[in-house]
Amino acid sequence: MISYLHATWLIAKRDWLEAASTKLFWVGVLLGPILVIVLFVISMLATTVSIFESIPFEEDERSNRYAVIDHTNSLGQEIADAILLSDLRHTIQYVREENHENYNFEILNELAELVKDHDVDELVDMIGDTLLDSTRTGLVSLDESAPFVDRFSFWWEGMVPFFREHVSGFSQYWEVDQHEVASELDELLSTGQIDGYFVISSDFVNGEESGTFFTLGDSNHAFGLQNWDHSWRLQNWYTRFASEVVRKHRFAASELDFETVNRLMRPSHFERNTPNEQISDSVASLPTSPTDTIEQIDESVIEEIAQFAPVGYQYILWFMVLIGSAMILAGTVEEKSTRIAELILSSSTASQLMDGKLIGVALVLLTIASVWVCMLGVLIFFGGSLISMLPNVNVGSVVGMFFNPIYIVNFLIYFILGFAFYGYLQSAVGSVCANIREAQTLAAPIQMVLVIPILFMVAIVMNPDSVIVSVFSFFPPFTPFLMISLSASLPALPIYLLILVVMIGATLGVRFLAARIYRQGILLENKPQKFIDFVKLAAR
Amino acid sequence: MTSSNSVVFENAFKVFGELCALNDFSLSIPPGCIYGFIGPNGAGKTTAMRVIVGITEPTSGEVQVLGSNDLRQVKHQIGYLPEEKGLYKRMRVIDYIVYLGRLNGMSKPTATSKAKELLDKFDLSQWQRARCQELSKGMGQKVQLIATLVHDPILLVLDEPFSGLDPVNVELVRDIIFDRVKQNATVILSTHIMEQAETLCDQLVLINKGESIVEGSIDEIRKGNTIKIEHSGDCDVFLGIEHVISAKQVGRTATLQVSENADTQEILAQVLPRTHVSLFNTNAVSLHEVFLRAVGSNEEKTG
Repeated sequence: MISYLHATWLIAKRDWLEAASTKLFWVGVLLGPILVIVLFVISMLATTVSIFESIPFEEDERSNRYAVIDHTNSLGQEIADAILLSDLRHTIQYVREENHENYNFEILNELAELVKDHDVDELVDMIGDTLLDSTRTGLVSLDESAPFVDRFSFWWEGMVPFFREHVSGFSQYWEVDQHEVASELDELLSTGQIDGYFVISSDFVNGEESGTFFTLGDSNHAFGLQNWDHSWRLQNWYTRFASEVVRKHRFAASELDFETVNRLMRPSHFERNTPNEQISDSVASLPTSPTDTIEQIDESVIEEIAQFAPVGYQYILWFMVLIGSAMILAGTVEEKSTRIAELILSSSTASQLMDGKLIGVALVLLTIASVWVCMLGVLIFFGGSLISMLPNVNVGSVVGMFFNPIYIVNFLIYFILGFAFYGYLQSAVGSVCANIREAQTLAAPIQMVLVIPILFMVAIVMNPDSVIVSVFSFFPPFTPFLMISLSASLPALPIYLLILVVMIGATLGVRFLAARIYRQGILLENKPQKFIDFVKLAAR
Repeated sequence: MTSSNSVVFENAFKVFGELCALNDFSLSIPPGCIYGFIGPNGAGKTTAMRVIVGITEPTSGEVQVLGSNDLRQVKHQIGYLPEEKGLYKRMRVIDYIVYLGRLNGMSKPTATSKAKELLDKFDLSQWQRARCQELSKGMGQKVQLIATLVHDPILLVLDEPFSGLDPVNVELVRDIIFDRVKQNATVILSTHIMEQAETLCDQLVLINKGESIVEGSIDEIRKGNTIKIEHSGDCDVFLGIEHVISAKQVGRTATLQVSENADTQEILAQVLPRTHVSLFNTNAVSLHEVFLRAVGSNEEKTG
């Protein structure tokens, strides 16, 4: 075993050093991410600042208002309460973190004194009940000798515009009075008085029926992007609070075992819908409404990054598998055509040569990845001014979201399996070809298979529960890419383990067959002409 | 099967699809000799060599190398020089040799020291830091040979070791081979140049279509039922001599085909009274003739 590993490591080290000891390699490694970052910054600035801000009617099209039709008669109010408490918490945090000496609002000065002696949870508990009660009953008078919580609750409504403007994380949306009739809300939607309305189904808590979010979606706006982005943000924001409330109900009603918790943790969602075709035609003349500014989208941006961070990992995996398997293919063909493989095989085995080459290329890719991570660290550390050009993004949160340990562990597992799966296939193909052109032709079907998961990538992230995702997760050529895409919403542990076992089995199977083909193919003078020839080689 | 021979093939077959590269192949190679594989292109010489070095396994039959049936056990005691010689172009010469030495179980310091010693011997010291792609063809082949020798193998398998070498380097390789044999190593080589095989090999095997047609020492192989006589008369003088089956003459040289177990001294005694003999050669057949004759008769046999 030690002898096997020794020779394998020698072969791996040689391949690694050969690739990583050239100037061209380092130029590529260093310039690659710089190019990507430049393109990323340009695209971020283009989509969020420059182009759309310069089109005046874009900002006027949002009301930042929404409505709710609540068929449970209670959940809508509970969600509104949860939003209110969240706003209260953000406000207290704002006062604590800003640490102002003197606010224009006297009540905030009093709150600033209180946060010195109490923690946030304590103050939320202290003020929350009164605040919720006051928003329901409406306080009509203010007695200056009244307790702080009563006076704070009285002033709350008046200070909301200030909070919206200054408090990070404070909700940017207004709920209009509750309506029962959808047609009335459709009218409000068509005239731009609301951006959308949520319908909470009667069995929303159990999750048997999903809610619905009616919106105009992307319509006749410039490039169709701004409003699409806006309505999604509203939907995601409200869904987050709805899920929180529903989760509390489910916890309260259930016995706690694994399956139950798994079900309880399942997020609720609203399906998007458009009421009718005519409404979208009248959108161009929407009235002026309050707008959100780029300084206020911090939380939404982070939520979106959390959702799409795995896509970044998938791109990295895809890039690595694509580049790595091409390197293996070219290396194998070179060793065969120059007959070096024959010489190496006189001192080692075909499996050692194949495994060594695979590990060597993996080391090259990990070198690239390590350099890029270091560059990212340097960028974050020294590139504050560059990042500040982006929308009001909390860099720490974004980095934390991207370097989530679950994402990293899941990525490493499926990087190893995915790279090995495709690497062994390419080794087998390379071993039977006399030159690189032959090899590229023969490897074309593998490259095509490699492209398919990329086509589905965004759809997978948007709807991780779809049937196609479930089915493809068990199809080994796609499994690594799908499982990395699903990092933010991984399947239940037993399913995850089952998929992992299937993938490990498939990778070992591919290695076994590839080794059989490789052992004979590397000595072959003529390339197998048909697929059946490969089968015969593997069967010999 | 255990044997004191360096290599033993016993009824070995190697089949690639419909092609039988080794067909009931048997031979024994004694230790400490120079053993030649000769045969036409595609005869199975390279396949037999690949089996010896463990690159490929026989489909059936037994092969024993350095006393072991498990070829993986003795791989590091074998030095192999393939027919087509390639190098890792971007690797430095010294690194390349050390790399192959280490693959054969040497430690890095030992491999480095041995590589330097051999580079010096082959007059390539000044090229040790050069990249392989900077070497001329001849220098590349010398580096290949050094890589084959670096781990001091006790069995050397050289596939066409002289192809592409200039006369000076041919002599150098011959010296290396003799030197290795002096150190009790066994050398197996294949060649198309019969004169080389005749002057270099102690024993050889003639392979055709995967079969071992003739095997033995050079003298045994060349010794046939033919006598060459240079004389003053014509061909008719040989008529009626006992054991002479046929006679042909070109110029002053007659070639007699005699019966098996014929006593050549007795034939000479009968010839002398009939003509003036200036040369009488019983070892008359060149390896080239043996080769052509054997391949021809094998073709007839297999149809």
